[in-house]
Amino acid sequence: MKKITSTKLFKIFLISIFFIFLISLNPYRFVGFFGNIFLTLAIPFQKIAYSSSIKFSNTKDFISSIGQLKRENENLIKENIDLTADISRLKDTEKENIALREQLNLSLKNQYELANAFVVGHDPNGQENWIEIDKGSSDGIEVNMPVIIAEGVLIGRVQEVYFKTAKIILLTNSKSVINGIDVETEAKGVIKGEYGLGLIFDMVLQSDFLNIGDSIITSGIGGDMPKGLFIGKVKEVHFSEDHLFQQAVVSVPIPSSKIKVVSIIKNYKSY
Amino acid sequence: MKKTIAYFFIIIVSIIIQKSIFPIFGAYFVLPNLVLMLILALSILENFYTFLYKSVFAGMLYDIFLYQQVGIYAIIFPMVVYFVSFFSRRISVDLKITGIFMFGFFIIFVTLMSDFLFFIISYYGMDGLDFFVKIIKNPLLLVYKIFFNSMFFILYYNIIKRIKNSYFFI
Repeated sequence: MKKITSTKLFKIFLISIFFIFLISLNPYRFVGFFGNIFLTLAIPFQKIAYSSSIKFSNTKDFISSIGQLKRENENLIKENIDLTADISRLKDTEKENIALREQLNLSLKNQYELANAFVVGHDPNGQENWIEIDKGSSDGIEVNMPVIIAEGVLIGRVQEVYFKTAKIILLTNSKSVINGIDVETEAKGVIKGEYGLGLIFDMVLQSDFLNIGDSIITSGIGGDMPKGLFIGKVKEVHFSEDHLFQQAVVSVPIPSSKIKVVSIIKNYKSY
Repeated sequence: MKKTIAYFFIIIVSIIIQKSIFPIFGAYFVLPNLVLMLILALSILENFYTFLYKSVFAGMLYDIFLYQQVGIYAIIFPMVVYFVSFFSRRISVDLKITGIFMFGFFIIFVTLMSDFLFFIISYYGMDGLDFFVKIIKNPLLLVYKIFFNSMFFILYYNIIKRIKNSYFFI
């Protein structure tokens, strides 16, 4: 017996059993204390490393795309003109909406309290499952808060919070499931991540319509996400494996490796 | 003590590079695992009994920095140490040709074993296995990953060897 217990294999076996037991218990509080210390200390170095890498990556992209710049510039000018016209029209609609709400005594839609944060790290396994930001519980960040970029593009939600850092689980993570709706056809479904590769708009009824190019937004059903946050555009439509529902492949507007700054919705009021 | 501090410092720097620099430049799944290669290099150059518990600590540290359940890499790293010790006792890694062959074998096996265990444990079983099988069906991804891992293994092997032989750390 003593001979078996002193072998290397037995030691490895004991260590594995202990940690499998620890994984099943998932002792967050025990780890949280050490996590707070190590992660807080590492944040300044991660910030420097990340921002330097982004600058280098942008320079590399710029140099490699010099040939396409003129064509891209022309396309962007045209898109800018179209978007300026859309903004003017929508501002007018917004004013009308606010006036009607005041007349009908309804509260205003979706008031967000935002906290901005820098991205300082990514999933190191290269699967685009999560990102790390430099704000944490000391800045009022809590678990399950939605995370957006630009004015309202949803990229994920807060999964874990430490004192000065937080982990954001991206929509492309296979554990991410949120309710979505097609803006154009009002088809409802569920947005699921596909191991960091992309998004699937699943469980859409066969009687609903999905068109390539349609915008998918959050539906607000369930109350865990504000309604109206942009998710992506439909790229491809097909039936699910069991042929009961429709599915659509949804393209993400920006790859996570290009994100530098995010906004966390700390508090939202929906009507 | 000085060597331990130096190893700890190298682990922390590797984790920061792994999280904050490589994901920006790497393609899907094709990222070297710096910390794993560091542990492999240390497993070859250090004694099993002296390094086993340090590898457990390194695994726990890596899990904390990766925001995952503590235990995933704390299981994987000691297995790497045991695996290297098992073969190192039977085949000498000091001979040139045999050594190169053994290093290549270690890198390939450790890369596959680490990904397999990681997906099984973090995705709770069959989903992880299913995903791992999908990855295996794209051998080019694995080839690139093993190639990058090899580059960093050679780098770490040389760094650790210099630290061990350096007068400052004796």
